[in-house]
Amino acid sequence: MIIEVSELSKRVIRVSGVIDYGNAAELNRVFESAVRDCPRGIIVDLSQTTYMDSAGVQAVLHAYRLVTSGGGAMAMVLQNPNTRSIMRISGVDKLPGLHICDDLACAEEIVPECER
Amino acid sequence: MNRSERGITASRDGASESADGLYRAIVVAAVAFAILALYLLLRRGETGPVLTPLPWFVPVIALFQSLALFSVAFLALGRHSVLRDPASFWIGMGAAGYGVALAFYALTWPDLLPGGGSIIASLPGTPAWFVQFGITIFGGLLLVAATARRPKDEDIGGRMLIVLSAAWIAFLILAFSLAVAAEEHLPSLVTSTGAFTIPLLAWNAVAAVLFAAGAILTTHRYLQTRDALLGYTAFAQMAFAFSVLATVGGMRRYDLWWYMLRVILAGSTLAVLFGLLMEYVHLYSRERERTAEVLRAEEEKLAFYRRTIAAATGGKLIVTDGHDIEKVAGPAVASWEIRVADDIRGIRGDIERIASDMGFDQSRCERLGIALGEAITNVLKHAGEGEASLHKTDDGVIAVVSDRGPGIPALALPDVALTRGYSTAETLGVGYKVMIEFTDRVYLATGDDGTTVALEMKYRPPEVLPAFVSHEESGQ
Repeated sequence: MIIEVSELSKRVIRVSGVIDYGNAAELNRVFESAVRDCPRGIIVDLSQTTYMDSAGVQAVLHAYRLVTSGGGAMAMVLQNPNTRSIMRISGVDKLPGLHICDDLACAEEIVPECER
Repeated sequence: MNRSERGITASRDGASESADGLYRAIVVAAVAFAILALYLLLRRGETGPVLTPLPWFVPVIALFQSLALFSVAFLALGRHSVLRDPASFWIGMGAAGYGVALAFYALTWPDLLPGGGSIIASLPGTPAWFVQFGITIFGGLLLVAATARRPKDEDIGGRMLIVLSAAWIAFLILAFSLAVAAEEHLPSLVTSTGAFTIPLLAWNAVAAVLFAAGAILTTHRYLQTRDALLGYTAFAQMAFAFSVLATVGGMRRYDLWWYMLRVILAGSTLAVLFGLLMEYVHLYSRERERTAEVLRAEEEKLAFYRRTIAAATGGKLIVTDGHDIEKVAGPAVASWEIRVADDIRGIRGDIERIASDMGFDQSRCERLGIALGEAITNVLKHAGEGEASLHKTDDGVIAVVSDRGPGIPALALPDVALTRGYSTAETLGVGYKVMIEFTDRVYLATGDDGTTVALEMKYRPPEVLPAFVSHEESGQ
């Protein structure tokens, strides 16, 4: 798993590779610091994720709670059909205030820029 | 079964006094004893020859009867401590009382041992007063047993019962000493020729009434409760009523009738013991029936539950047991140990590669991999470690993941199969939903000794019959 936090806009977290039980905790920490930096909202870009199971769902839910409790917005970029399926099966795609996008441009329109 | 059902109805309405075998036997015995008593009264005065020397079997029978009475006391008081049933408490106390009296009688019997000593040589011979006292106590407490509503729940607990029994026996020993000390000053009950005196005859007449009234009440109570202990106790009460009455009818100590009555009395004590044991046998058979019923109900529940879960998942989640999974999966082509989180990636990679080599297309390999990841994650989360294996079937593969963890509680399984959406996102549910969606069938065996999940993947997705709505569509 490679986690990149965008230099230009700290609100974009791109996770490429594998997300599973072994590294979900690390992902949680990155989400926590991103929400601290950008309380208005974050973008989780999973378009480069090759494997994700329900451990990833837990991490996304964790980020979602942090963001929405501060009144922020959240968007997810999904491309992998399996990852999409998992989001649908777990009901994460129906959460209010969590937007699912096909590309980054869509997500950047929804989530405002980081203020800090 | 028949019997217990009847017992429940009888005690519920309290008045259904239908005859049964034991009741008929009680009536027949009552008639027989009445005829015998009448005969003894008619031949009043004609006593048989007095046997000398006193035969050894008199104290032996007494000793035997005393042991039987102690067994009755033990079993009846034990029954009381469990069932809190007042009748067994009073029967137990009465049996203990008469048992102590008979034990003294036998142990202090002169000339019992070869060489002419009693078993306990230091004790004086048991006064007739004490034996009479014991038999009267027995009759009185049996009468109480037939009518008592107390002691019931919480009146007398287990420890209290032991203290009370010990105090009761201590009191009887004291009564023995008192009888010995006071014997000279009390009216004589038996003359030197073995004839019974007026005080004894009067006493026995009272005792006979106690036993006879007790027998009637006990029989009545038996018809209400169908408690075999009470039924057989009625026999004993009749035998005792008859035997004390027989002394009034002109019997003498140590004559032929006197010996015969010893045997009748010992036999009737055995009847009470038999009644108690019968209750244990009934209890045991009832218990077995109940256990069988519970097991049957459990099996039905399990079958219902399995079918519900299978139906709710369109036949994709099969709750089963480990043996069935072994049968379905067949021999393993490869196996792995699950120890650490990195194993998720390693095993998944291996299995995806093997599946790909076997001809699975890319998408199905990935979906199997994700389902496998879920299964292995569950092992790491809930059991810490386990194992995985891959099995080849005619039309695909089965990946088996098992652990020796605490198992999934039965009540959590419907959530796995039935709950939809976000509410399951943080439960075990999501993982299983992913497995169900991404493979063709999931077998689940779970219990105290661990959980086994088998993920079945065919080369091609099975055709969905039009009659069924697939899980994927219904989830939308």
